Amino acid sequence: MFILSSFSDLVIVDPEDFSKRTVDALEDQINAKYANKVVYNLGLCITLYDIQRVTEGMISHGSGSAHVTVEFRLVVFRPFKGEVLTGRISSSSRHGINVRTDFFDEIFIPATYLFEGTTYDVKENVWVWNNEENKFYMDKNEVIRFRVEEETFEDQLPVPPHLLEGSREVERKPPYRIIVSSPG
Amino acid sequence: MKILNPRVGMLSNHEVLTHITAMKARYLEVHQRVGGVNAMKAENLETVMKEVRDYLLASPCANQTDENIQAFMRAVSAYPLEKGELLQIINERPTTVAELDCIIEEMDARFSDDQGQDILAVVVQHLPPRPKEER
Repeated sequence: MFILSSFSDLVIVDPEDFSKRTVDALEDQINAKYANKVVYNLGLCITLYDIQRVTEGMISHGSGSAHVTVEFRLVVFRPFKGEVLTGRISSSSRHGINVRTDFFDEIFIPATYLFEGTTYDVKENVWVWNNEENKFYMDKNEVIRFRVEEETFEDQLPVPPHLLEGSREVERKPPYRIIVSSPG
Repeated sequence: MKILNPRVGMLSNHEVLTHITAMKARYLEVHQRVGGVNAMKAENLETVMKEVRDYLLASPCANQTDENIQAFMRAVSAYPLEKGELLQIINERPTTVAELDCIIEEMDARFSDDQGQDILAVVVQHLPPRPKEER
C-alpha cells in the first residue's frame, strides 16, 4: 500500500528559516511541497521519510535564500495491482460504487467489476449482492474490501484561456485514480 | 525535481504509522521547547498526517509491534508465500479462510485446506487483533 521513493530536488531555504536547524528547515520545505500531493505516474506522497544527502547551500545573486540540492526519500501511497485494501463506500450510482479511505477519495468500482449477481436498486440508490438466499446491501459508509485492478494518472496541465469560454472553473479529472473490483 | 528511484522498497502499514507517530512526537517536543511558531507546519502536511493516522489507527497495524511482525515472519517462513502476500497478510490480518483466499493467489492449488488453517492459526497467534470499531 505504501512504498518508499527516492528523489533529488533543489530546496530553497529563505533567510527567515536560517534560525532553524538545517535538517528541520529542509524537512519543512520538502513536506510543504510534497505532502498530500500526487506526483505524476508515481502516486500520492504522504511525508518525508529521511534525508540522505545534502549539498552545501548556495546563495544566488539578488536574494538571500540558500539553494540546496537534497536527496531524500518519501513515503508514497501507491497500492500495487492485485493488492487487497479496505475502505468505505462514499456514494453509489448506476455506473458503480465510489470508495474512499480517510486520506484518498478517488477509488471506483465499476458495475462490471462487482460480484456476479449484484443488482442496482434504483429506488434506494444502492447496490445489492444477491448471494443465494441472502441479500447484502452495500450502503453508504459501509466498510468494503477491494482489489486494485487499474490505475490512471492525469497530468494537470493548465487550460489555454481561449478554451475556458467565459467560465473560470474547468472540470478537472482527478490526478490519480484507482479502479478496483470486489475480491472473490 | 527528479525521481531517482520510484520504488526503493515497500513499507508495511505498521512502519508508516510508527514514522508518523514519531514525527508528531518530535513536533510536539519542538512546540513545548521553543513555542508554537516554530512548530507550525504546512497545512497539507497536517491534513495528510491526521488522515493517514486515523486510517491506520483503525486498521490491524494499530496494535502491532516490531517483535510481533518478526515473530510472525519467522513462524510463517515454513509456507512458500510471496513477499506481496506476506505484506498484505500483515496489513490486513485475515482471520477467515475467505479473507485469506482474497489475498493469496491460486490458494486452492498452492495450499491444502489444512495448510490454510495453519496459516490462519499463525496469524492469530502472532499478530494482535485490530482495535474495536468505534465509529
